[in-house]
This record gives sequence, C-alpha cells and structure tokens, in this order.
Amino acid sequence: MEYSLVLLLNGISFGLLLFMLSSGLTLVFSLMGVLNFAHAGFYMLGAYIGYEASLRINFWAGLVLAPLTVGGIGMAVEYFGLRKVHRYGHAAELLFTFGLAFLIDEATHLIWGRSAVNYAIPAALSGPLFSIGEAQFPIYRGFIILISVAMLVAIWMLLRMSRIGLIIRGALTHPNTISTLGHDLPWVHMLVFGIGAALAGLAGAVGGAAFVTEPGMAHALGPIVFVVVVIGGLGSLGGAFVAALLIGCIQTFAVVADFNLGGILPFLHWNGIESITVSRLAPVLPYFLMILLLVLRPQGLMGKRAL
Amino acid sequence: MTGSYRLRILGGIAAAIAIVVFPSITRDAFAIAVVTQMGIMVIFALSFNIIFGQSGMLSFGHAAFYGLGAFFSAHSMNLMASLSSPTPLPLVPFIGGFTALIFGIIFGLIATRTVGAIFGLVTLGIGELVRTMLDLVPRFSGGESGVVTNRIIGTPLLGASFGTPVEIYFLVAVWMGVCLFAIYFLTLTPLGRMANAVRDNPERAAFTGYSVSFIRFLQYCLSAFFAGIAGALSAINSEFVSVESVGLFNSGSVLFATVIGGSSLFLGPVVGAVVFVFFVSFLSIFTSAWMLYLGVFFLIVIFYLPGGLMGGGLTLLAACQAANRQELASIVFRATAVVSVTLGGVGLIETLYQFSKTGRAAFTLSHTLPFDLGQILVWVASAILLVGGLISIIVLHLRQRMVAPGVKA
Repeated sequence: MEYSLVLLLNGISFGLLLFMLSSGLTLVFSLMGVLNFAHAGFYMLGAYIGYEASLRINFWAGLVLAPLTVGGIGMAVEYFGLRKVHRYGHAAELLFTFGLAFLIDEATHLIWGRSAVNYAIPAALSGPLFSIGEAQFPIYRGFIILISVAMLVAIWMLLRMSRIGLIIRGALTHPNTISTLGHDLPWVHMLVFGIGAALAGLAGAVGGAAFVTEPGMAHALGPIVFVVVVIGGLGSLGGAFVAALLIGCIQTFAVVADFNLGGILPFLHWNGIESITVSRLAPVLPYFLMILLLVLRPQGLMGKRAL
Repeated sequence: MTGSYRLRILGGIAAAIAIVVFPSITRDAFAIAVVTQMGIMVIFALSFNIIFGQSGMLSFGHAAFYGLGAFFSAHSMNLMASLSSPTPLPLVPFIGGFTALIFGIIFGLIATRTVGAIFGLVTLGIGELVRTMLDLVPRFSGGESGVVTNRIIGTPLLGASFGTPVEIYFLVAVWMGVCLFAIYFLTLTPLGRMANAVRDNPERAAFTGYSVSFIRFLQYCLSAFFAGIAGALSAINSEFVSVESVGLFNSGSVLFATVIGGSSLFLGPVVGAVVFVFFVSFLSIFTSAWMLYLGVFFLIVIFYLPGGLMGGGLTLLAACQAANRQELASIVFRATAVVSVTLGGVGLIETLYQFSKTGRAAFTLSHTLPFDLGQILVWVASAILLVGGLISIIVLHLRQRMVAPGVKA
C-alpha cells in the first residue's frame, strides 16, 4: 500500500512533466494550427543546455538558461521558418517541423556525440524526501512536481490575468478581430511559439537530470507526448492535463507490475505471448490506449470537435 | 499534347532499356546493389504517394506496412523452405502485399476516421504501436538480431534461381515496372480522380455523392498493399529483416524521398527515391555528417522547391526554354551562387566537424604542404565561397525588389 502511494507520486511527477511538454504543443496548435514535431527536440535541447550549464556554472543556472535559450530558438524558428512555409499550407508546416526535428537530432549527434552524457542531480536535491514504510520518495521527484506546478500556475496567470494573456486568448477564438483591433498577430504567434518552446526547454532541463540525457531522448519521448495530445483531444489544455497524468501513472505502474499476460488472459497461447509481463508491455500501452480511444471517442477525452 | 505524349513514351522506353542494359555495363556489385535498393525505394515512395500526393493524407507511420510485409514474407520464405514448397520466389511479394493489406484494413479503419494533423499523429502512433508490439514478440521479430531468411527457394523461373544479385536486380526491376503501371493506372480510375478531389476540397467532393472517408480508407489500404510489396522485396534482397524496418526512421525516409522528389507529380517520388538512395549510399561513405546534410537538403526543398526536384527541374527547364540571353545569364548566375553556397557550407561543416573530432582538417590539399597551411586554405576557400554566394543571392533578391516594387515573389 505504501509502495503504491509512492508509485502514484512518481506517476504524477512524470505526468506533470508530460503536461509541461503537451501544454506548449496544445497552445501552439490551438493558436496557429501547427503541430510542432520538433517539440520533443526542444525538450532535448533544453536537457543538453541544462547539462552544459551544470558543467560550466551550476544546475540552477541551467534551469534559467535552458528555457530562455530554447524559447529564443523557438521564436527564431517561428520567425524564419514557420512564417515562411505557411504560404505552402498545413502539410508544408508539418513537414517543416518534422525536418526540423530530424535536424535537431542530427545536430545533437554531431555536437554531443551518440552516447549519454552525465547530467547529474545536484547534491542538494538528491536523496529521499520522505519514506512511507520501506518505500522512499526521492527529493528530485518532488522538485519536478514543484517546478511543474509553479510553471503551470505562472502560465495560467499569464493567460488569465495579464493583458498579453487576454490578447492570446482573444487570438485563439477571434484572430481577425484581434488584428483589426491593432494587435500584431504574427508577433503573438511568435511569442506563443517561444513560450511553448521555453516550456519544453524547462521540462528538458528538469527531466534530463531525472532520466537520461542522450540523443535518443527526443525520439523516445516525442511519440508519447503526441499520444497525450491525441488522447486529451487536440487543442484542449484540460484534456491534455488529464491525459498526461493518466499516461504518466499508467507507465509508472506498468513498469513495476510483475504478472504476465497468460495470468490475465489464460486462453492466450501464441509464440510465447502468454509469458509477456505487464512491465514489458509498458511501452505499448500509450499507443494501445490511443487506438482504443479513437475507436470509442474519436474527438479525444475533452476535445470539442470531431477530429 | 501528342508531342508530350510521344516524349513520355520515348522516355519510358529509354529508361527501360537503361535498366535492362545497366548490369551488363557495370560489373560493380556495389552499384548493382544500390540500384536494386533504388528500385525497392521507388515502389515504397510511390505507395506512400498514393495517400500523400494523391489523397492529401500525410502519414508518419508508413514503414509499419513495409516492415510487416517484410517480416511476413521472410517467415513465409522460411516456412516454404522447410516444406520444400514449389512456389517460385517471384510470387513472394504477393504475400508481403496481402499481409500489409490486411493490416492496412485494420489500421485504416481507425486512422482514416481522422484528417490533417491528427491523421499524422495517429499514423505516427500506429507505427510506434507496431514497433513496440514487435519488440514484445522476439520469437516472431527476432529481437535485436532480426530474422534471417534464404531466398533460394521454390522452382526456378525462366532458368533463374535468384541466387545472384543480378537476378534479384531484374526481379526488383520487373516488380517496379508492374507497380509503377498499377499505381499510375490507379490515378486514372474514378477512385484515383475522386481521391484528388478529396485532397483538394473534401466538402465539394462529398457533394458529388461519394463517401469521402471511404475513399480515404480505400487509398490507405491500397497504399499499404504496395508498401508491403516493397517490404517483401527488401526481405528477398537482403535476406534479413529487423524491427528497425518498421521504425520512425524508415517512415521518415520514405517521406523525405517523396517530398524531395516532389509529391505533386506522378514521377516525383521516383526521382526522389533515386536521389535519396544515392544520397544515403554514397554520402554515408564520405562523411559522418550525411544525415545533417539530408535534413538541411529536405528543409531547403520545403522552403524553395514546393514541387520538389522534379517540379523545380521542370520549371527551370521551361524558364530556360522561354528565356532570352539576359535572363539565361541571370539563371546561370543564380545557379552558380547556389552551388558556391553549398560548396562553402559543406566545406565549413566538414572541416569544423573533423576539427572537433580529431583536431585535423578534413581535406588537406596536399600532404607535401605544411599541415596548417592546407587547413587554413580550405577554411578560407569555404568561407569565400559561402559568403560570396550569400552576398550574390542577397544582391539578386534586393535587385528584384527594386525592379518590381510591391510585387511579391
């Protein structure tokens, strides 16, 4: 029981990290109609910048530098890239971000090599925060929860309580009115794209130290973030939040579950399929869930329109 | 119109003759292997373009069908060998095609409920689903070591037992020809025409009485079928299949090939597949940064050549035919600028990359020269080419603006 409570907290911390990624993706999609395939690449860049900062300055500087740098890169990508390919239509925008993701992967290979780098958790944040019975909950996991929640509150306040947030929310529903009122819509687009990238960069700087910082990390996490967005209902922040926590917890629980498929479905006997343990099933579950949801509820958990 | 028709037939005959005589001209095993690979990629890219270029559905998981086709044909070949079945090898691609078709029907029922960006995400998810599922059943997928098979099975056909690379070359060539005609024929059928209509304007297409989603579904299944054939041919060619063949990289490869060649023209993916395989096979020998160049090249095509290499080439050809002497000079000048920027950029990336690895320059002009001199020369030459090319492009751009103020290019 104590053990599953700690697992739940672990799942929530992973889920919140996923939400930091998927919120940026969702915001950019709702505003610009662009699905940013390079989003996981921004996450990876954030991790590497955090790593470099932790080597040269310290870990905390990385937490500031990573979102700022990646946010700047994101704004540049919007200004010099997306804006230009926009005239060729949505397919070209998708292709552009896909190519960009590929380019970020390759540049990472060339700059930092193909093996993982040692991006360490600072001493102040290592060790257990508390333990329930024999199960320990690491400080760093708590730190991830803290950072994510703080970030989300900040974003919520920016969107709900500031003037710029008002313009962004207006641009979501009534872009033409917003530009008629004299607001610079392209500038809003660039800003939001930058914010999304900065969130991914921060998630990278935080997550890179918790997990492993390697050139394959974008490829490993990217599809899961996309699944979160599809399950939540594309364009719905609330849906993305629920889906991120759901996937985070499912992944965390599945990894430690130690019973096999034959135990659940006794009639399964094919090519050794009955001996597959649920922990090995963990990578499949998000995609499986996505397929299931698309069959049952094509608009996603909280999506308003049919896809 | 008849002139262009005759030109096309002549071009087709010339290409067929070139394909037939190629193995007798060269005895180089590597060249034959590369061209065989090109043939397989042509089928794969054409199958991808059934949904992308023809029907406007951008899939990021097309390798699922290629890989599943390859896996099922490899296992069928092993089974046929153990049963000593007389079925000749050239029919094996049908197995790959039909298994991929079955998976296409299953996944198509789910994926074609969505359109646009979500379709891209869902197909990406389906590709990853297939990959992770294959990881779960190592007895089927062979785990990390993959599945090994043997192509010398069944009764020899026309005296060929398909042991040698040249025989496989012709097998792939024949299948490529068949698939090319079949897919071209598909574009002429009512289904193909309606798919174009659905791509251009789904709402209007629905008003003609056709079911838009059913047309998308049919195109998706057919595309899966041809991808399965390509996968089966790759299993026959390399006698090996691994989980990588269903991965995101392979899905990205076919996408890159199609976009680079040009998805809006029927033969665009063919050009793209040839260029792509050439890129991958030869460039990877010379430089470890080849994937970076591939990515940059892809982005350049998206920015400046929306019609791909084929579309861009045709436009350039038309411009050259219509141009007077001054315009021709300007085209040549522009081409020179682009080439010099490319050379300079490549030179800089290579030297920097090599320098960061070993502290040495990549191309030393001569081994007799003092080491530092060669390195500095390469750097200076690359920088001059890059900067000179960039300046001339910018000057051209500005001049164009001055000539026609307010007119968008």
